[in-house]
Amino acid sequence: MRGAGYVWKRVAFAIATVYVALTLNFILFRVLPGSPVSQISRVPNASPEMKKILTQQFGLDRPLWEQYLLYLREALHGNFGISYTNRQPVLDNLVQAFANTIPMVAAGTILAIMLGLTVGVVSAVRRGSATDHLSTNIAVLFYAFPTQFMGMMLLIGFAGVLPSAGMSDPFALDATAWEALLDRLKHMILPVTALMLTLYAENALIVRSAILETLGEDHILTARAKGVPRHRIIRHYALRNAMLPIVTMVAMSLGAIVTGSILIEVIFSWPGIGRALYTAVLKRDYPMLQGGFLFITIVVITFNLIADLLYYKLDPRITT
Amino acid sequence: MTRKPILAFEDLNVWFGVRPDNPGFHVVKGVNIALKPGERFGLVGESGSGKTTTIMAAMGLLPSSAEVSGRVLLEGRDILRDGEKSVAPHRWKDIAMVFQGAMSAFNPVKTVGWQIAEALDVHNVARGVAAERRVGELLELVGITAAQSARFPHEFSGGMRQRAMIAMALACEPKVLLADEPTTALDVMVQDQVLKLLVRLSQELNLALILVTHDLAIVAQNCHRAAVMLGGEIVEQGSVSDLYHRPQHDYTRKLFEATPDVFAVARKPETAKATSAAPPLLQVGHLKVSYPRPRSLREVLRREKPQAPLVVNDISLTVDRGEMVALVGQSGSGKTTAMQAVLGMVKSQGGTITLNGRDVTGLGMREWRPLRRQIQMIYQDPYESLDLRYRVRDTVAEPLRIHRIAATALEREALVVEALERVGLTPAARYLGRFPHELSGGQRQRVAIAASIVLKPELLLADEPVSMLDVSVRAGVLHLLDELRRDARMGILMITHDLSTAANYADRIAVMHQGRIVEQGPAHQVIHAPEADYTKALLASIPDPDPDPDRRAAGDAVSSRRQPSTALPDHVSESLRHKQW
Repeated sequence: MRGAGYVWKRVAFAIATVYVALTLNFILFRVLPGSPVSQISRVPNASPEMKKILTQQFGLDRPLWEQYLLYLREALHGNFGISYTNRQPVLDNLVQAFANTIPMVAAGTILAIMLGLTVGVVSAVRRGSATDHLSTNIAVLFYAFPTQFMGMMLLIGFAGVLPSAGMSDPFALDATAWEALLDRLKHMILPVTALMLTLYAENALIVRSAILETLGEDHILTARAKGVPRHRIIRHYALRNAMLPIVTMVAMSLGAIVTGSILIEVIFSWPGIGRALYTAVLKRDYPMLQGGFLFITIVVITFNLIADLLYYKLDPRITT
Repeated sequence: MTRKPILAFEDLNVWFGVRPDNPGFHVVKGVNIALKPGERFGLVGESGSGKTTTIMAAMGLLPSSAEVSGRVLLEGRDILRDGEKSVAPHRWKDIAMVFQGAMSAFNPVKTVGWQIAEALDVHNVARGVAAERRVGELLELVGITAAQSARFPHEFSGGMRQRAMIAMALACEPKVLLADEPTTALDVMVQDQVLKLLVRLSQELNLALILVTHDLAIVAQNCHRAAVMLGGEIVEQGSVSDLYHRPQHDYTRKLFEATPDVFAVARKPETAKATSAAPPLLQVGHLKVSYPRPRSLREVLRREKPQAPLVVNDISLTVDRGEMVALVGQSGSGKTTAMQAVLGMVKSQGGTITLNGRDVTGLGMREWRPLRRQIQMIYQDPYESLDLRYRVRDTVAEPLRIHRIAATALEREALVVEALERVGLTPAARYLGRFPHELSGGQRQRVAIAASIVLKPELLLADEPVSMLDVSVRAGVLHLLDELRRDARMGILMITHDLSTAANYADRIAVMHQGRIVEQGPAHQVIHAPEADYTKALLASIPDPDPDPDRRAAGDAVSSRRQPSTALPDHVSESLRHKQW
């Protein structure tokens, strides 16, 4: 198979990056001044003995490399410690929050990509027309809006009509599964719209310029001379070649979305990963933060890996 | 010939950018061409002469800003009458096209077979298994095995790609084939193959062919008739033999004179040798260069050095003062690498480089710097080698500033003016304040040369100095190099893929192939008595501008056309005479 080495190289590279992130996460909290023991033992009558016992309990008396190995072992088993605020394992908290975030972010992103692709292709194909000017200017306008502004505007406009906070109606206790689903979807409308509107603009502008660039290439002229119909040229030549830069940029922005959803989740009180991190910062919940950062790092690395593999699938020229 | 024309242009005019308030550019002016079935017709002209626009009009592929008048008749029917509607049915089915950019004319993400099959599909010629079989046949026709249809364009070499392009053009059995500079980007031996293929196919399939090119020799060898275009007009049209032997228009004559003719090279008077006591200006001995490649895992583990193939393998040559040596080879032969090694830009793996008797092999960048005054480069592409935001004055003065020559700005300006006048940009004051985009291609290359000679170097390294320039401009630049060699006694090492250019201007030629110099000697000797098989093959693939070379073989060594014409500037004709006798 063509360049199976490429796939393995990418996967190995991603795993190595995760490992480095794990290690940095360990080092970061060791080099920070102060120790957890001195924080906890700052109680009246704390004796040196008590400090010593605490140190032993936490395993902080062991050599650094042993601590590191322990940390790695526990991390690999999914143990990131206990949250300070709700006394639950960090992993459970993160998984719960992430599961809430994914449907909302995925819906918003997919809609944004679809809308961005459509708008971008239409403006590129009708370059210079009134449609192009209108849609490009609107995209630039939305691109310039900060997320929180967009969220606020949607809240002001639709708060009475659509649910504006949370992801389900807390009073619908005896709802059937069908009703619960409808309720969830209704709650998703506003945050998803906000996310879509902030993201689509960038996609539309990227798609437009990528397609304009490929439309100027020689093989488009060959296709026209060959008598290939216009819509086919756009699909198999322009869009297919423009997909290469588009995939890279969209995938790179996907990683940032998870963190970018902080604003949306806070505005619409969505109990997702973004809001979990936001509260963790406010309450100085270090284990949560540590786990959360690691989680986000892994998500970003995964998306980059997906982009690399997609790129490999789309571009036959890649072999190494 | 009484057969009716298959394709005819009647009073074709094309304007670009016409608006109510703007007359636009009149790029094709009243072109008349009539093409008979099976005829091969050459359309010759320099960049901007409107030759590509002319054939694009026949395909209905001009941009929407173009306005067309006149008729293009395909078997007597005007295919431009109803615009897109009347052209579309004929595209590829009756008129097909081969494009210049063999590199980029295929969609890079689809297989070659897919793209040929697509042509069959959209014209309802064949689908499925039948299409697959037809694609195989077409590829075999151009000498590519059917199994290779599953490959992607980037897996083909330039020549293969162009042949696949021809196969694709023949997919729907067209009656007319338009070839736009089909071999411009190819090496001369590959060019020869592609042209022979086109001629063979046109004979076998009774295909009318329009060959658009800037190279007269290609037309002379492959076409029956030709037209010469200048500024959108056809200035002369006729059989290739008439154009060559009895040119009516000055421009035609000028073009033929500017086309270097490798076979007309005569023995040159020996250039006066430098006094034997002085060491040669540049001496390269047993030079070896390879590009490092990353070590594989096994090599890292075993601590082995990576085995990289030698790009330059044991070459030796000398360049003396007042001498022009040409290093000739195809792309990938290692000639540019050799030059970069001489400049100290890439590390050599072995051998010595001596400049003026001083060993410069392996010197560091800091030690090189004072030496750079003696050795200067001229690059291939004057559109890229000049900084677009620098005025001519700044470009030429920059080396002076770097080497801290000339104490005052006034003195510096004087040196800049001197260099500009030396390269023929007179009066220099007219050019000093210009930006590169305000200059023509030839003028740009002259500015680049001025920037190289302003330091009064002893050795000039010229990397394909004319290959990006139009034919009629080339001669001027080459004459300039020749003058620098004779008058300023500079040593010039010129890299070129074009044996004809080398033969006409260089004192000695070194032919390079796969990293080795396969033959080296005085120009006339290499041309007329080649020893290496590679040189012979190279010579055999060069098209001769004389359509009937047999006549010359019969004793007519220098045809009448070769007489220096009074239309040329004095110094040009003088050096032409210098070349001939």
